[in-house]
Amino acid sequence: MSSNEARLRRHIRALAALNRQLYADLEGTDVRAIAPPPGTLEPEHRAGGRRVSATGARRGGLGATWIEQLGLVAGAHTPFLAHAPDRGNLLVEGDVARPVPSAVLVAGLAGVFGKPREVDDQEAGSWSPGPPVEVLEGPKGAPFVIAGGRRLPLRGLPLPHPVDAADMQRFPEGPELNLSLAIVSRARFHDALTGRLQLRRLGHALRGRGELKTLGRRARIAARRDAND
Amino acid sequence: MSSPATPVTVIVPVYGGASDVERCIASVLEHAPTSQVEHRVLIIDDAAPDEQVTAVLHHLASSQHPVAVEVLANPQNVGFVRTVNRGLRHARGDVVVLNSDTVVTAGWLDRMVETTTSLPDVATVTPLSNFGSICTVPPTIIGAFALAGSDPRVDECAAFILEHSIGLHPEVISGVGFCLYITRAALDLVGELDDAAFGRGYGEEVDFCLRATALGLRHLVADDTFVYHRGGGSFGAERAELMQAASEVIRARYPWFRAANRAERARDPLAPTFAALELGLAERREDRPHVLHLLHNSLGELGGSEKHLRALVEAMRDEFDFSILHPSEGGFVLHTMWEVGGPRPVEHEFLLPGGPRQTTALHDSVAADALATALDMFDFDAVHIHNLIGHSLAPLEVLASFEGPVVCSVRDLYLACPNHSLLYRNEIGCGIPDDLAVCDRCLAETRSSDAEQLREFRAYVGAHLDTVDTWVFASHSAADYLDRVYDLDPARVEIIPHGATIAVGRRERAVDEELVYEEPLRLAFVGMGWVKKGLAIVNRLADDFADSDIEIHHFGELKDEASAELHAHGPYDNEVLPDLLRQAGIHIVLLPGPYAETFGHVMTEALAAGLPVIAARYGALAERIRAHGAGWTIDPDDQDEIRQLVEDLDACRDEVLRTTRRATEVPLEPVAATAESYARLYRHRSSDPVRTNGAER
Amino acid sequence: MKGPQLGAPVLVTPEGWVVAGAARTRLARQLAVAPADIGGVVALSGDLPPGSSYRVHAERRATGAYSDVEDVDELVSPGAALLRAEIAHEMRGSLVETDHGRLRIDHGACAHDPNRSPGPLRVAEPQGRPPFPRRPVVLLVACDPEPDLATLEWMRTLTNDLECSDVEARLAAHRVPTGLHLTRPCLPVEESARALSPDLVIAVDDAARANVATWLRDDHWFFVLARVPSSTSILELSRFRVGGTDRRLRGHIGGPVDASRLAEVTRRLCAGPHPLPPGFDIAPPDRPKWTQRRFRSPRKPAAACTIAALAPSDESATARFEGFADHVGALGGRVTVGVLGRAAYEDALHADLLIARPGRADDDLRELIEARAREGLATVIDLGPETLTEGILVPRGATADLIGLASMATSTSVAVRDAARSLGARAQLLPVVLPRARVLEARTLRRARTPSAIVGWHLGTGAATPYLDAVAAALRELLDRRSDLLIHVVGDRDRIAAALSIERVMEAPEGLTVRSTWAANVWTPGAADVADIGDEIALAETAVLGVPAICAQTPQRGAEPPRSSCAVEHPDDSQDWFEALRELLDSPETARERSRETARHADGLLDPASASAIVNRFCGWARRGRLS
Repeated sequence: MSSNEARLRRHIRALAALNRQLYADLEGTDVRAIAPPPGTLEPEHRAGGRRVSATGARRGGLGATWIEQLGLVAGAHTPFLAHAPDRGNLLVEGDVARPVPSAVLVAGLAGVFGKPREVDDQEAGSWSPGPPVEVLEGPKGAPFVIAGGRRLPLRGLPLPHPVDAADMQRFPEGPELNLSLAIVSRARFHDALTGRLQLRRLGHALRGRGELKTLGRRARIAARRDAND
Repeated sequence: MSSPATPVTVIVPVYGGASDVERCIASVLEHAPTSQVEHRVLIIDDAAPDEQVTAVLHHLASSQHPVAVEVLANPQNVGFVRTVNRGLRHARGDVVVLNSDTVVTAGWLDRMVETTTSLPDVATVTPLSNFGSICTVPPTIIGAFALAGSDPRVDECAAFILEHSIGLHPEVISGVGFCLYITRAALDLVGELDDAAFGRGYGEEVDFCLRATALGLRHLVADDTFVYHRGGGSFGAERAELMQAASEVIRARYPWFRAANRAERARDPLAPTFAALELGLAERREDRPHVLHLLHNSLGELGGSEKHLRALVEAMRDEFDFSILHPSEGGFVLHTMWEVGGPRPVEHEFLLPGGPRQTTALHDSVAADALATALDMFDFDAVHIHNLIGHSLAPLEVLASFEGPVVCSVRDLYLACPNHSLLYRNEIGCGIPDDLAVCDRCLAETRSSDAEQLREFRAYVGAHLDTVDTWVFASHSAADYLDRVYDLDPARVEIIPHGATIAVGRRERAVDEELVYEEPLRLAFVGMGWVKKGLAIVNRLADDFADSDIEIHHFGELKDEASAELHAHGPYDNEVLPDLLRQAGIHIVLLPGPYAETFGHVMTEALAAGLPVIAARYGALAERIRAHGAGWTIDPDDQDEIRQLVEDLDACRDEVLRTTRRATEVPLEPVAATAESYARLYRHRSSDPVRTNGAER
Repeated sequence: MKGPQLGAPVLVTPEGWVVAGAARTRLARQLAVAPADIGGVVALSGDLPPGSSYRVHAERRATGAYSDVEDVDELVSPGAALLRAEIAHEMRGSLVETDHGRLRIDHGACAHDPNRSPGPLRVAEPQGRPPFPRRPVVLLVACDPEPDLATLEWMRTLTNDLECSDVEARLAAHRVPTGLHLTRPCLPVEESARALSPDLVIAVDDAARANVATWLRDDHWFFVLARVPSSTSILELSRFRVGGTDRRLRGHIGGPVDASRLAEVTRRLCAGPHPLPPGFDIAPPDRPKWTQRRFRSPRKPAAACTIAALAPSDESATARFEGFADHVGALGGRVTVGVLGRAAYEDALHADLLIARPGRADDDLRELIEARAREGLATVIDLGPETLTEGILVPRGATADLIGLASMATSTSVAVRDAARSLGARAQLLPVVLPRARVLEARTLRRARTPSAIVGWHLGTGAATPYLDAVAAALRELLDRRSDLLIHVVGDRDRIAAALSIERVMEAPEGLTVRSTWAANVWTPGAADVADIGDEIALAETAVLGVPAICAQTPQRGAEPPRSSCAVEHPDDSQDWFEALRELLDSPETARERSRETARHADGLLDPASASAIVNRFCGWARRGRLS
């Protein structure tokens, strides 16, 4: 093999190693470390001399602890939503009450477990506190919450908390929660899709403010939107 | 390509560090005779306070050398920049400004000159170093040659870099001053260093380079040349202060420089060079045979094929190096695992060039290119195909011209039919029908494909059968299934059972008769909870026996819906499964799926737990059950027969005892026991030199 | 109560008779449970159903109840007998005679006299198929009304030889060949073929080949081999290629084929692609709509029972039954844990199940067991080291009586379980299970675990362990080499005071947090080879913490060492202990690998999922009466 051919081979290998490095950064995963010959410095750098950033650890660690606790909440009871004056929204599973901090999630969960039941603080106090219903995100697939011993994937959601694959697979997947549908009534959601909602608003504005003022306001809104693009 | 303005003057400003100066000049003089570049050395003493320095310079001035050595002395200390400028004025051709705490290496000047001539309008060239800003080699290399220690292996490192560099001569925003080659053209255009603004040193070479850049000149790195730089010595405590002052001047003069410098660091023009050097650190040993495996997944996944290959690679690593080529979202990854003497094999991952994967059933050009590139990147002595899912059939064509042996393990019946579960409408075993109209209906539902594509698929494989030197099956039935579609040459068919991927050393031999006779009968469906693996059959059994003493359990992840009566334990760790099954008091492992298994790793784990198996009457599981009598066979489509069998077993625990004893006596070998068979295949080439598709091997 | 075993029983059979494995296993089981005055169990002979074999007939009879027996003083009809070793016997003709009065005839077991005439030719019965499908069924069919003797003889010998090669062979012809028969021939008619539903048909003549194709038209499983006496090749298979000519006919047999070779070919044909897959115009099967996607769903045995768990003191009750109660509760059952004595009497009297750990108040316990027995309620005696005679694995006298009374026992140790079984009790392993909260706490600590230079040492209880000095010597050498090393001792420090009386050897502080910093957990169970519950719990907890355990290789007859532990081959040699410990302390890579392995086994075997499986099994076993 000629020296030029050898050099080209080394060049392909270097670029391929860099490609893999860059792609691993994008995926937020790791890539095989280059193990130096025995007796040399422990490499903290990867191919290309650049340090691979560990998974973008956003709020890492919390999810795994909650999953540990959830592993112990026996899936034997059908959960229901409750609302207590002091403790706010709760997802009750057996004798464990799990706070649901996000109203968006309450709306979504209501689609699966029914509307929240009003309870007084004394009844709420009888339940032992459990891990919060928070949005979790595994390495692949949609973010999810765990409720009733199952993993309910979410659409249209607030920030997720990363967990690893093994923790994710400890719960089988359940039905999907569509938050956007849950928050907006089904009829309004349909109208928005078909444009009837926008026409209704325009008609109301014309009646209320008169034609010139309405058209002026519309023009200003359109100009501002173009400037932002 | 312009030639250098000779003689090249190597300017060495000296202030302190007698031993550094001595070592620096000695290295320049050592390599002068072998240089093809006419050059001379100009040492300028900037009123060094240390008498030892003066003595060294006096000795150099008064001795004979292979090249001209001139020593000038500043009447009083004027600073580094002004000393260099004096040198620049004194020189006629190109110059090299060399710090006195550096050590040059063999061929350094010739390769830097060669770099200046590699492109037009080159102003400066900087070599790689252990202490040279953006030209600093990665820590792995610094560690490998002890460059941070008191006894750095400089020449070894230089030879290593020369051998492994890819000689890209990358362009950078600015050269680095520890060893800066400046062309005469640049000096004439740009002028001297700005000693007024950068008087005591630091930042002067950046200023010079940015002025040259403004005139359209370039700054290159000689990435095949290494100059050692002890560094940090000059200016002692005031170094930080000098650097701060210099950067403020640079920022004022060149407001764009900071952003450009940050962009360059991000783009990292030297990344390919350093990647090549780091790969060179753990080069493969040519004397060891190298085998390329084609897999549908990365080796870290949890599937049966991946676990088996992991165990095989581990068992054969004493003799063979391995690489695994597998598809990924970004294209194809080549994962290399080589023994270079450390406790563990050295592993790298390469993302091969090629756009996002477009997998077509027959020939995927991206897959073909990826395999061809892998075969070109490294030398391989054999290729072992494990799974073509994700590779398309392209490897059968690309490997037709491969010199070494090609082994193909038939782990599933993908080559017989893309719907490799062989389940008509994902429900009933099809047994590879003659009437392709049946396949038409099934493929439309399962693979959005049709019989015509299946004909083409089989014709393509049929035309490339000779690419494979040895077809490896883990059971006779797998061979019979594939033999139904292709005319396999019996001489190229090899049966090698997979062996156990879990530890089988501490198998439970004693049968607990009280468990057999005195406890409710418990059957466990083990593995992924899919309908095609038998979950529907298991669900019905759980419902049927809901009110009886018989318990139906499931160990594994539930992929499809399960009956509420099923005792679902969830995912498990294979290594611990035998203990788990024993602890739960399981009597029989249930693998009733219609899926035509080619081996059945779960059955091996059941036998390791000393438990008999119920499985479909066809396929590898039936073959293994009938060979050792370690279970029973059922028709997956006949739920009544299955329920009747379970009831009979509950009534006749003697049969359970007898069969359990046979299960504990079935010989189980680890994967390592099959290593020698595969090694033989990797060394063997099929005797038939002539290939039917015209490719002479 | 079963008499001690003097020697293995002897199977006595008349000349030339055969006894199938199913019958042998059944005879052995009957003799094992028969009273001492029964000298042996007898399997009589009888006619085989048409189209059956002696083996299938024995398997089908063996599914009958064990109670289908008849005790006689002497045999009047021929049969095979499984006699106790000490019984003198004599075979007169086909009759077994013994000097010991009583024999038990088991109508669920049968023996076969191959030389006896197989009986008249009739249509085969479905009983001819094996009840436990595994062995392929091969049907040799000759439809010629007057088959020649040579053909019949060929069919008879091949059928018998196939029977001996683990294949169920059947002979269908219009005449019964004379000679030895392991099966009963049947008529070569459609009903016979349908009843037997064979995997492989050997068509002996052309008429058979034609008939079989129509007889089994819609049976999609069977293949055909044609007998072609004129063929030169003994056995030739045709390639079974897609689009080939005939899916049924897979080859032909020429001369005298070797039965084991034909059996192997039969097994291979059965495991290959089906001859004729089922019809493809079927609609997807109608399935009930299952919705369950949850792990650890509640299960019957544990979910439905109330359990009382009693121990001599609160402390031992909590230690032994806290985890057990937690998991039974998680499965929907109800458990009350209390102290043996008057206070807990009411609960214990009426609970579905009582599990009691004997101690001081054995009389109260005896009274409780008898009262519950009167109401048909089961009681289990849980055995620990305190119930054993000092130094040997035999329950103390009082405990042995309780076991006899309760007839059920559990223990954490395999050896103690076997000792209880030798007393005639039903006994099962009930390992320590940790409460879920404890597992959670240990796992949370493990995530942040950074091992330090501390070695934990569980001394164990009971008399001095033979190799305590070897362990102490190894630790002393380590203490001398590493000034930063500490030793945390769990147990009676006086036992090692002489060997390790230095300040860096101290009492192990309470709590998991400290133990999570241990680099290793040396474990030396008591001399009586049975670890007490405290040790068992501590060992389980440290495993969940990811602390690698080091113990003696020879599995203590008492406590089962955790599978992931590092086993010391020569426990008497301090160098073995020293090397095992040094490797963990000096090599971070080994320590990480060993810790990962320990945690992996702990997560697999000690996590809530497997703990509920243990509890579920215990409840299923305890609530099922002894097989009558």
